[in-house]
Amino acid sequence: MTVIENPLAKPGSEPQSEGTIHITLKVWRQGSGRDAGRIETIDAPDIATDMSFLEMLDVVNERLIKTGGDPIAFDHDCREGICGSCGMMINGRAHGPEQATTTCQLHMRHFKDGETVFVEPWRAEPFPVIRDLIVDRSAFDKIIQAGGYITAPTGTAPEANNLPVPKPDADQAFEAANCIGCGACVAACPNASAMLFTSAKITHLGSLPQGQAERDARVMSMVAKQDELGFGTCTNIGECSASCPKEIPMESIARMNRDLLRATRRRRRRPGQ
Amino acid sequence: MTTTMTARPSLYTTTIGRKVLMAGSGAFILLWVTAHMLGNLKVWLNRPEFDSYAHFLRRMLSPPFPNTWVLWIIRILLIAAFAVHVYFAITLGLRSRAARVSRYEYTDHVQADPAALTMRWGGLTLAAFIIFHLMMFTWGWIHPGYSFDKADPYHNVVGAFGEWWMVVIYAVALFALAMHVYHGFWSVFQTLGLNNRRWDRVIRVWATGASVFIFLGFISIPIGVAAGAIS
Ligand code: HEM
Ligand code: SF4
Ligand code: FES
Repeated sequence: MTVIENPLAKPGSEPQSEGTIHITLKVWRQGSGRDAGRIETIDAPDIATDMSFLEMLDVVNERLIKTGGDPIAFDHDCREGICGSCGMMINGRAHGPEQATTTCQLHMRHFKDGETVFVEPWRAEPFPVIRDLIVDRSAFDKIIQAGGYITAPTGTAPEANNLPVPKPDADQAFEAANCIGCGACVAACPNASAMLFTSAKITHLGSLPQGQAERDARVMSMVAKQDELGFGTCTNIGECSASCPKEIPMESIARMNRDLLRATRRRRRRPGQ
Repeated sequence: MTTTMTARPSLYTTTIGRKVLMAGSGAFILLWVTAHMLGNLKVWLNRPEFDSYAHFLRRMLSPPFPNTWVLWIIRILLIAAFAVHVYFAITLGLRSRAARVSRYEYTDHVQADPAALTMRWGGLTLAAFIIFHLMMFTWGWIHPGYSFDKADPYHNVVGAFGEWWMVVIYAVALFALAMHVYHGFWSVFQTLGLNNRRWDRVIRVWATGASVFIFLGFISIPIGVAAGAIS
């Protein structure tokens, strides 16, 4: 374990400035997917509590760069909780200690002065580490490609009110469509299962009239794909939903199970479909 | 219009289909366990009642079926259910383990209850206990401080719990069973797609009721014997 000294530290323990905390990071460092990787201890004083977690990492990285160190690689894009790229495990919790919050929306005021904070990448074999905290989530894209869409002719956008959607169905579809594909569900699941993610897509498209034609084929294809990619098997623990920044409910998984059972029954009755 | 959603897995090649098999076999075993518990409670009535229950098991649906036929059919179904349940518990468990080869340095949980997290080790504890239990009451290989009499189950029950540590073993095993049933009962509904946010809490309450009922029903017997109420 390498300890990187705080480059800004002056001799003697000076008091923290107002509204800041001094934390110790234990960060996973891994040069590339092939390297073994290890936890590195990084001292991080003077962290303003109104920074987001990613801003804190930015500050730490700037300090590292100034002292010739190697900045911590992490993924991010929108920084407003909608793109799903900033996932990381913070003290053993996906996206950190707050419920319904992505890492980019997590603020440092939720950490105590003097706290040691473990930061690790998502861990699941289908999500290989690219570098430090960045993992390759393209396994999710493959699940989407297997059926997370409706087959429709493209062209000009159709008239929005041509196809009426009952309000409860629309609400359910919207709730499921909140999934941002961040992967926290897989990361938090003790089985590294992708059931919550896949079921969010099944619920989203299966609640809408446009999704009905391919409803059976979709669930069979997407479930087969998530299995093939090597995700683990659900044992109904519920850590996924509790860790989901978009609060996708466990009922989505029950719904996907129901859809799969129904698709199988219908195929038996109408083989060849 | 054609679709590219071509995969048509047969249900039981998918992990969900295999869990459906676990749910079905688990529910069958649970029904049997409940019947077994209710039957055992007859030991509280008196010796003839308990013996007539043992007799009834042998003569179920006879006629038309010859004696012990139905008992054997149930036994075979039960063995098959255990085989399916344990086979998929192990293979699906290994699959999940392979999905997380590199582990977290720091682990924490948001809500996971101990019952859900101990399904595998708790289940294996139950498997060990079931074998031990058969060695006591079915095969009569273990009989500390009393003589086993195949024809007199009442005598065997009273003899078995003369030793306090036997009561402890049963209490621990029944606690493991109660934990397994608590999560398993709810899981059956979730796995079979019979759960939603409105029913969720109701099913949790049923699951609690079922596990407490099974625990208290079974444990009353060793305690009753140890306390001298059954003799
Ligand atoms: C003999 C050894 C046993 C082992 C190794 C075992 C293991 C397991 C495992 C790993 C699960 C999956 C956890 C989940 O998906 O929720 C499970 C579920 C379950 N078990 Fe067992 N178990 C055993 C015995 C029993 C017994 C004695 C009962 C009945 C009282 C039982 C009833 C259930 C039920 C109802 C489920 C839920 C199935 C589901 O929907 O997934 N099991 N078991
Ligand atoms: S279900 Fe929730 S945790 Fe899983 S990928 Fe979607 S938003 Fe992230
Ligand atoms: S950076 Fe987009 S969700 Fe956090």
